[in-house]
Amino acid sequence: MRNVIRYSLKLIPLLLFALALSTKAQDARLHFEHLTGLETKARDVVEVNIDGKVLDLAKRVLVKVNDPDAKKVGQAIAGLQAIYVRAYTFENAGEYNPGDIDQIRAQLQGPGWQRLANVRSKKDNQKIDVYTMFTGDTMSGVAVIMSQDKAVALVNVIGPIDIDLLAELGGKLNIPEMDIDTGGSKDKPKN
Amino acid sequence: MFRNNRLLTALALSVIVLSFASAATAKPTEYDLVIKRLREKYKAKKVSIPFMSLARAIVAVARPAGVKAFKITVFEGLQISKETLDSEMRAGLGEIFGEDWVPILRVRSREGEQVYMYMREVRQDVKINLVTIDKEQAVVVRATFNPDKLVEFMNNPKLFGISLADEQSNNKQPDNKPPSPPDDDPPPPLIAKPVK
Repeated sequence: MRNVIRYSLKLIPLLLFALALSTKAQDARLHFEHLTGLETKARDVVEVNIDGKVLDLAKRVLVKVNDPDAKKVGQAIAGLQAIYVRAYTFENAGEYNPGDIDQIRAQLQGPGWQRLANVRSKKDNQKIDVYTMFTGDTMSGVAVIMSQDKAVALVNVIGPIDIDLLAELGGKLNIPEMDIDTGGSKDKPKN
Repeated sequence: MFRNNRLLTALALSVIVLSFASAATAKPTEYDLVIKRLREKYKAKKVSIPFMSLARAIVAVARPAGVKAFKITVFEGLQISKETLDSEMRAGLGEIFGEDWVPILRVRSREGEQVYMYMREVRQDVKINLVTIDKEQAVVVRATFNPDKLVEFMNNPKLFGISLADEQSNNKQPDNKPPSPPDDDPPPPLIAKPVK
């Protein structure tokens, strides 16, 4: 009986460590459940949920296709766990309560999230915030919040993404071209 | 001889009875339940699509791009309320599609356009249910396909043993390159000259 207790005590730190890791991984998931305010006032709503088996299926198919670009996309998203998108379009400017989006922004103030980009434009009162979450050296989540007078879009990607690989595919397979500064070409003039 | 005839008749009758019994006791699919809901709640009228049975039979035999089966039902004359349609459909489809189904896509517009897509993996196959409502019309699609066969088709497109690859590669333009200009026009310069 004593041995059982001794072994159990030894297992507790391990279990706590595993629990902490799993909590860390799940932190990248944003809670979109309380967006009913946006939902009811919006003229158009788009909701995309790609996770679990659906994402596994996409990865499986992309890796098996002979096209090298499709294979690269498959590799870039190999570790992905989920992609969630919510897009709302409104009839008139200022029809939604900005507090509804602030509630999402508040979630991104939690530990682990870092603001990568912050764009503000007076045209249509446009605001774009890009947040990333890192677990060690690996990116474990991305969140993008875009809002303007008549539209709101929220994107939440959970899991590691190979940005370099995706940047390589810019301009192909409907992936927009990305100009990522790798820090290696300082002498190159910028227009 | 007479005895054999009686035996055959009994066998045929039992097959007919059993097939009717199994059809009667078969659990309705999610697709059937969506159809029933559109008919009963929104008084939708089914539009017949000519040669649909033939198309389904051909797909069942040829299995193009790994598609094993499909079913399409088109409705018209839906009596909906734009204000409540989305909440009603979400609640209704939530009841019909259980936890096994993944709600991949939902699009709704205040003008009365709605799209709902559910997906489920069954052994090696994938089942998709798509419900589209556009004001007074609705389309319900169900398809079952094998993703491995879909990959095979993408890698080597064949239909009834006839390869479609040559035709595709002949028509294919290189990625991100515009079609080549006519011969009489000189090619555009690759590097723009600086303006003085």
